[in-house]
Amino acid sequence: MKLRFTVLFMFFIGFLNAQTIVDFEEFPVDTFLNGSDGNGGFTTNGLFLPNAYNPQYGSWTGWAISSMTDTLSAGYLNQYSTIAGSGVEGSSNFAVGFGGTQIKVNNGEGSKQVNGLYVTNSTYPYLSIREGDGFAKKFGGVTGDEPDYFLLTIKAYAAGELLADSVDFYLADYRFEDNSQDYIIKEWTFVDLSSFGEVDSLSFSLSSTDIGQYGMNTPAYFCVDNIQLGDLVSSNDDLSITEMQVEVFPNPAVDYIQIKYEFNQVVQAAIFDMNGRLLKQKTLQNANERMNLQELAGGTYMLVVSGDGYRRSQLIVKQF
Amino acid sequence: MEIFSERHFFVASYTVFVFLLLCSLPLQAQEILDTVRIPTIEVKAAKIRQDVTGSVSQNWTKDQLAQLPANNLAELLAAETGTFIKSYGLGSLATSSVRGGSAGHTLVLWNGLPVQSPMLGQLDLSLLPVQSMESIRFDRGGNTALWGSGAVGGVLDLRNQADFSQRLQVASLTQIGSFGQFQQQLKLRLGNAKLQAITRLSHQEAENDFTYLPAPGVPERRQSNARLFQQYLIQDLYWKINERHHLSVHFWQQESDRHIPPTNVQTRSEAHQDDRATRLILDFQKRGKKGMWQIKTGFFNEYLNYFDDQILLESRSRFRTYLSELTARWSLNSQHSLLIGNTHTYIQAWSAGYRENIPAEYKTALFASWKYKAAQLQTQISLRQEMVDGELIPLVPSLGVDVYLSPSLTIKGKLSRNYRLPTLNDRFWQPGGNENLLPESGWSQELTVEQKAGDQNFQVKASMTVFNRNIQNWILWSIREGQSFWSSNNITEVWSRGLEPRVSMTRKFDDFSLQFKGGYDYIRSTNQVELANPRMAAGEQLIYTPIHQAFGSFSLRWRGWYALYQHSYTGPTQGINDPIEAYQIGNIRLQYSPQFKAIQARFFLNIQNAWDKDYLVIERRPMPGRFFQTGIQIFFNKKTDL
Repeated sequence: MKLRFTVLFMFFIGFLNAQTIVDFEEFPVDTFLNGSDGNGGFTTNGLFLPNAYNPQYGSWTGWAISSMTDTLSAGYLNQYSTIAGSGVEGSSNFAVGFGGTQIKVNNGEGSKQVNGLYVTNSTYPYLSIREGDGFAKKFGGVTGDEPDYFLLTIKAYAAGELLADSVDFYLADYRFEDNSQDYIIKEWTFVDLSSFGEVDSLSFSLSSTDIGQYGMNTPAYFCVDNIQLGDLVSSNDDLSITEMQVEVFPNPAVDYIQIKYEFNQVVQAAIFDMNGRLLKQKTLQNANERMNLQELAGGTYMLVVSGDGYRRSQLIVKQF
Repeated sequence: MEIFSERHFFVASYTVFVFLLLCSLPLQAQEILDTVRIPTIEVKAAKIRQDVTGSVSQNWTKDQLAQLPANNLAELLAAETGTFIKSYGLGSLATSSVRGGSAGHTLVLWNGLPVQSPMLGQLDLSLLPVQSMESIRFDRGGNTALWGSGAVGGVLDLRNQADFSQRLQVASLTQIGSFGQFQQQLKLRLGNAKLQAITRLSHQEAENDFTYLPAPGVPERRQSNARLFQQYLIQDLYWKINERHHLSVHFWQQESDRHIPPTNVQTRSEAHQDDRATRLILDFQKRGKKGMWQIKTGFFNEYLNYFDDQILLESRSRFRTYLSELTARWSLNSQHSLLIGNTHTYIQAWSAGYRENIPAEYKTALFASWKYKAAQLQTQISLRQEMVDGELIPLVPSLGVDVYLSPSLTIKGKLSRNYRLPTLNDRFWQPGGNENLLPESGWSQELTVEQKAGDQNFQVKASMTVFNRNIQNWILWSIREGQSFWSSNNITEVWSRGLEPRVSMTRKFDDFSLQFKGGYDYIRSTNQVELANPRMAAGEQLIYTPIHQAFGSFSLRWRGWYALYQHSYTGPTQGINDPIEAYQIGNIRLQYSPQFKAIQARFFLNIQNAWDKDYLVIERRPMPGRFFQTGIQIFFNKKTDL
């Protein structure tokens, strides 16, 4: 057990040291950016999210950047909203994917580790799956028992080759014997992509059981936020980061932990599970603050406290 | 294939129009003199367009239409012809598929002019009332050469006609039914030997909130948001200026407001659709001893507005059509007849789908038909050349032959080329409209053997038709490779072929008669090009095209009593998403018609879907189980002068 924690600790130290979170907040978004500027896509932190915009028809495919949060209006006219009601952790901006699309890493000129990203439904497919519309079915069908699903499949290219592995994420899953377990994703949910290793690009495709002669009836939209990039290769930025003295107590904890750090500055505290999924984030304003753990299940977690040029990682245990 | 240049065609077209017009003038003077000398003119010019040669047609008179359990054209065709009607539900959109064709392959005429939406290329048959028409004719098979674009699978001709022997006629219909159905119609005919005015008013509403079983073991569900409201006025004026000059005006104002119910996999719907149509036709005829000139002018102004409050969708569209048609026909002698015609059509349309554009389309066509009629043979050769916005459409010929082998045995055959022009939406919708679309076109062949037997009291008629049709450049909307939107393209070919056996028997006694009619359609209509979107294999049967269909009706008439049973079978079809099971539907009509001097009453009861079958015509669109309609029709006739 001790060896395992040590390995995991070193693993987190390794990739979290240089982790970059791509949250799209730098885009000046009033409502949405759908590529009408003709740039052919969106570039952020070395990622390129392509967009094909047709100025004649005002139509687009690929990616849009949005801050729209209408969770009630059904239909195509609400195609830019997320059902989660905001970006991850209440942030403003997120990306909306439409149809089959991709993300190029490292500005398309090399490879990089993508640890994972947060995914949820767009309001349009969410309400269509839940209620049905004139074209698409309410999942479960007339009996409520039909084993429907809405699936996001992520594949990766490395060194120009498509990797054999892919990651499936069910945006809606009605395949359970017990219908009460059927679900449609409504919250931002972390999808771990670290198994791909370093990649040139990621490709995203949607599929559904509601499919006919003209293709998928379920609206082909999904939302993405907080893409976590890990720089496994050392960089100048890594060298500039120094250790910061952080005290965390009690550990093991019950409902909260107290975090004390040596410089009085604003820092970010993040808690990850042992699969690297971000579970909780908090901005700490003072050098001695509490972080609530009540919503976490009992287990071992990684706490990462990072500031401008500083960071510290520590395992914490919440008691069962 | 282009036999004229564009300029030449314009010149030829107008020359014919003016020539026909000028030809009629001296004859008008002649005819006025003739009128003085000859009080009664017998018009011998053959009905070249209506009396089809080489193919089969069905006719219904107003009296027959009034005694059928059918309120609209969709219900009539489904029960009486074996035509597959794509009905989205009770009171909802209904279109036809004749001989494996698309909805745009059935041409609908009102008093001889096409009334299809030029934006959609089709007409909602559920909006066409049958009981306000004097007659309806249904020609199966291609007839583009005589009627123009869209007459690929069949032609429906709805007519209002004058009856100068009538003086006063009042007819009313009051009908109530299940699901809040209520219908009232009033017809008033007033006239003399020179003038006739016919007014028809109709009001119809229904909640259509029937219950249905979504699936075995699943609780019943009540249909919602299915309310229907419809009213119309049809006004006809006929003026027999003299025996040779007739003028008529036909006016049709119709409004309908239909709520669009949810599918059976949709929780609720807030969609509704308003259809408004104003149709006006002026028809002037000059009749001579051996010929007849006819000028028709039509103006149609129609709106189709679709709203879905749930998704904040508002889609408004409108079109205006101006038509003129000049035809001249001569009976050269007892055997030879000739028809020459020229049409001009100008269409404008408005829709948000056209962005800031207001697309317009100008079409003109020249057509001619020669008919030879002898004791044992009737032959008709027709030819049409149309031009759309300066582009010549392929010349379409047609050859029809009827051979009367004996008084009881007839063989009919027809070879024709037919086409359907792209609609305005096909051409101009943004995104996806394609101005470079070619017309759907192809050749059709059909052969019918018809045998009759019997006498005055017992008649049997049986026929077998075999047909074959290939259509190239079939237009489909789909998402093409590399596109993010739907677009219209000439992407496939469709081969349709089939058999249509028909039989009818009538037995009459003194005051008792019975009749049986039946038919079966075997239709293979296959896509001939493998497609990725829509996903169709080469040789695959088209969606919503049953291979097997059968229908039959049995009626008894005794004095004032009448009972009718209609039964139809529709084989399994493939929908866009799922296969649809075969279904059988039975309808019953019971009727009693007492006569009180000049007044005749007709009490009736319709039992629709008498066997209470759960079925779908269109996937996810539930149809009602058994339901009832009852009502009374009252007729008052006076044929003497007031």
